[in-house]
Amino acid sequence: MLRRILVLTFFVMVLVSPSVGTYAQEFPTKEVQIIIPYAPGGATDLIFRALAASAEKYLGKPIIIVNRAGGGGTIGYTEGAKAKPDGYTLTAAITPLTILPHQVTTAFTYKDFEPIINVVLDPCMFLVRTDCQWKTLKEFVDYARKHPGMITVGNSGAGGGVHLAALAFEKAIGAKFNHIPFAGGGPSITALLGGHIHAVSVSPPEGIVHVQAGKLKIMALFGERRLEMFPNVPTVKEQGIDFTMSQWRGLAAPKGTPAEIIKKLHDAFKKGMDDPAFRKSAKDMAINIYYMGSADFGKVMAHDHEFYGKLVREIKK
Amino acid sequence: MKKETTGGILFLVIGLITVILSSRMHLGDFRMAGTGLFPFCLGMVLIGLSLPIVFRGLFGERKEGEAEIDAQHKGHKKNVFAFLLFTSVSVLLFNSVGFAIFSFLILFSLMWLLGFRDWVRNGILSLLVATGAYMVFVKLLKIPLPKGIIGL
Amino acid sequence: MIESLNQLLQGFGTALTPNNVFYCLMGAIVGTLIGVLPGLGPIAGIALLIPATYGLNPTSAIIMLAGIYYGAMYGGSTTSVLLNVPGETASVITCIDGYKMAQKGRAGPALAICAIGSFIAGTIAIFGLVFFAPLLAEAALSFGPPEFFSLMVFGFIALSNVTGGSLTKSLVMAILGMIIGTIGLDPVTGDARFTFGSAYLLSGIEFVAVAIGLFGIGEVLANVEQRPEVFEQKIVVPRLRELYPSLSDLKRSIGAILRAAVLGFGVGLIPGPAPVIATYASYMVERKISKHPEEFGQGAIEGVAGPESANNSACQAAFIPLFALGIPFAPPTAILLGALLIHGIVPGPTMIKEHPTFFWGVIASMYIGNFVLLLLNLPFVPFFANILRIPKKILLPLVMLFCITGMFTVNNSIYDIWIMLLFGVLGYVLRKLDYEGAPLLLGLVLGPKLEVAFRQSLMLSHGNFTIFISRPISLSFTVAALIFLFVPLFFRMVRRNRAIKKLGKEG
Repeated sequence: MLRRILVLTFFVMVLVSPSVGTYAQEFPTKEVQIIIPYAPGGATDLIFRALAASAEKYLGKPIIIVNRAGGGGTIGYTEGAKAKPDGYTLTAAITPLTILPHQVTTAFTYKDFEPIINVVLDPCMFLVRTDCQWKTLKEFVDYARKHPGMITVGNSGAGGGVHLAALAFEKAIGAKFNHIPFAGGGPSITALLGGHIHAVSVSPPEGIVHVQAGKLKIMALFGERRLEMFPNVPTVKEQGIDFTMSQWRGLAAPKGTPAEIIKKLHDAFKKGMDDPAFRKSAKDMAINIYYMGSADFGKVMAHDHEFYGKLVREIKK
Repeated sequence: MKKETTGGILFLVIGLITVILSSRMHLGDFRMAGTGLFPFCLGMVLIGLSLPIVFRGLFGERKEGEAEIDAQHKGHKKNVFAFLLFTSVSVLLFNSVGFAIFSFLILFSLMWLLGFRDWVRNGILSLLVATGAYMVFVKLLKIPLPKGIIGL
Repeated sequence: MIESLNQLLQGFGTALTPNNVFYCLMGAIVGTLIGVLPGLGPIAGIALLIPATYGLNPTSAIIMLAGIYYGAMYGGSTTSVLLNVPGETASVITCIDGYKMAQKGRAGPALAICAIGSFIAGTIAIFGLVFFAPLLAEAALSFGPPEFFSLMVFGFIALSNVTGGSLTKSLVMAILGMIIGTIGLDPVTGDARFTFGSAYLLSGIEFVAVAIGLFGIGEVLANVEQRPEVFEQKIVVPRLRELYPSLSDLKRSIGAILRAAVLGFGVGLIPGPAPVIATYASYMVERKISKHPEEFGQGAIEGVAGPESANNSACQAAFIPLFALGIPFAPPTAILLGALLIHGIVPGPTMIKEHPTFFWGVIASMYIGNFVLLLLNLPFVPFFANILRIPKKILLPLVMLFCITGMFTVNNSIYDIWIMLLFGVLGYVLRKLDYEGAPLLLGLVLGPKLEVAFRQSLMLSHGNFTIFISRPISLSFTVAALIFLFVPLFFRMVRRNRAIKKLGKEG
């Protein structure tokens, strides 16, 4: 009996001897996780992977990407909102964060997050095949108005940002599309390439590579400005339709994260954004870098939450 | 034949539960399927498939030699319960004690259960393997695993 | 074609530089280690190691990451054979005959044939990739929602009774798998199904948890239950000569391997979990055309050679949509896409023209990678086979630790572990009631996709059901599905009639 106690004590001591974690150290003391509420290979995923690569060296610790796809983002945001506000679990926050709570009962709203920094602002757009029957936006819109429910428009998920963009657009032009949901941007573009749907609602970098290759073309661009990569494509606003829709993508931390940690994260990621390697990746992906600091980002989130609340209610009518 | 009937009834029940739960959801029709339509149909098919199994079980004939095979396979069910119990306890502690201690705990308790009664040698082996696992997974491969009370 | 060959040779030049060979080797070794750990499949492995490639040039980086991808595929079969634990999702079918072979002391030949088959099939697939990539990519595009639906119905009907045995029981398991697949969010409307308010269940039941639970944990529990005499029985470990496949083993396997290479390649082009489906298809084909069908399920070497080869072939095929279209069809290739973009290479129709050194370098290194893996794995076969010598009272707890750790690494979720244990109990119970696990996994994989494709198709056609038979590809699969469904029934009736007549004559 005594022997057993001694042996057990010995084991316990051996296990306890490595140093216990110290408190109140310089942030960060270990790797930081970014939860991406979307599938790997999607737009958000790609952008933040590129950013993580550049920002790591400024943060001083590895940045790990964790994908938690599902529910148009619900799953990832729920987890991100519940995480410990110690700065080690961040969430990639994109526009649907302010849309989802109006569509389904969610366990979160933008108020459960502390905005850190906004990285990109990508316009939504409709892509079609270059060999499709509509040569101009006018033809497309006229056809849509005359044949409600006939033009099939794919999206990356029911209730997602681009789906809503399509719904808002059809309201703006007084038409009705046939919306077909897919499990992500990739499958929706594949379906377009194969000719199974007429158009797809996406935002860069989804589909860019095919526009460059000449297989797809931008039918409608919902941004405020033209895309740098395709300067000959006018926005719908330029063509007389007063409609814009863009998606912001930024980083947020759970509410309650201390301000000094937010500032440290903000600075590291800002440097990552300015890093030439990230700038090049962004250019290749045709995404639009659009920095916003924590305060401004927070204001945009609040504004969009109201905006989309109204939009969703109108659409549901 | 108790075996066949039990199996059939198990699936019958699962099918019924599925049908009941999904009928509470919006069903829609085939053209515009609602959320519950697909599981509802699946549940019905499951019920349909399990009925023949139940009948076979109640009224069918026993195959030759089944009785002997069953007897051969009869074993220590309580070992299985104990095994699951020890495992569950360890898993419950997984997040709080951390990966290193968890590994030690689960190895030690399960090996003891399965007959490795020599505490010292069991303990040493568990310790070695737990340490090895920790080294490879946490240090070498850098996989995020829970850190417990001792910070490992 | 000549030009392709020329460029391929140049590609070898790139791939055979000492640096790149090193990266290839590193990727393959790490990949194998990752593959051996259940749950931690290529997805997590590649994602974890992307940061390690930042300092490298794109070609070297992708060589290493691709090495991890198929290294993991190789490694995944090891635990399937030895412990009935699927190392990753596509290794499930290997468990069926591979584990039985190990129990009969034939772990060595089983492991070796996995490596050999994977190598041969992988090599064939690479040639397919090189010469047919653009064509096949276009063909893959012609699959829209109705085609997917018909294809999956066909796959479901053809493969649900993959292991033979009672058709009713297999269908029951497959339907159960589909029901489990509905747990979570409705993919079309986004409403929650069967989640009982739990945030965890919103993302559905993790396939890996079910696979490891049903097969691995279920087997552990079955072992724990055994009476001491059976439990203490040591597995006969053969002499060195018997550690490798015999000539007759090889003769029997080569047919399976070649068929699987082609079959797996074709299946691998389909979006989604193609490697898993490829293994089911190969097993089914081999079982149907074998001269010894009764051996399947008891340790037939074709049942290991075929699926493993198909698996590897499908993985290589999965690169085609990625490289030719820039669209990842399966999660591992999605991560690779991310890695490519980070390194400044945008895959798509123009990639091959704009970055030929990269493309051909990667292709050449795939070949080298396959070869390297064969060299790596074969010598380790005796080592692995000897793992089975460890007494069960030590081995089984190790397996539990292994499975739990691996499971956790997939989603960092403790709930996954509970699901795994739950399915372990289920697997144990179902085993006692004579039900097979493989059909359940098939249902779990195909179910959600089947439902989505069905609903998408009807949305496209405004509720018109004829969309499934008005398009040529969809029509062919629908017809094939009907054939597979009714022909066996027809034959059964004919046989029964003959048997009745025969009894009538004799009576």
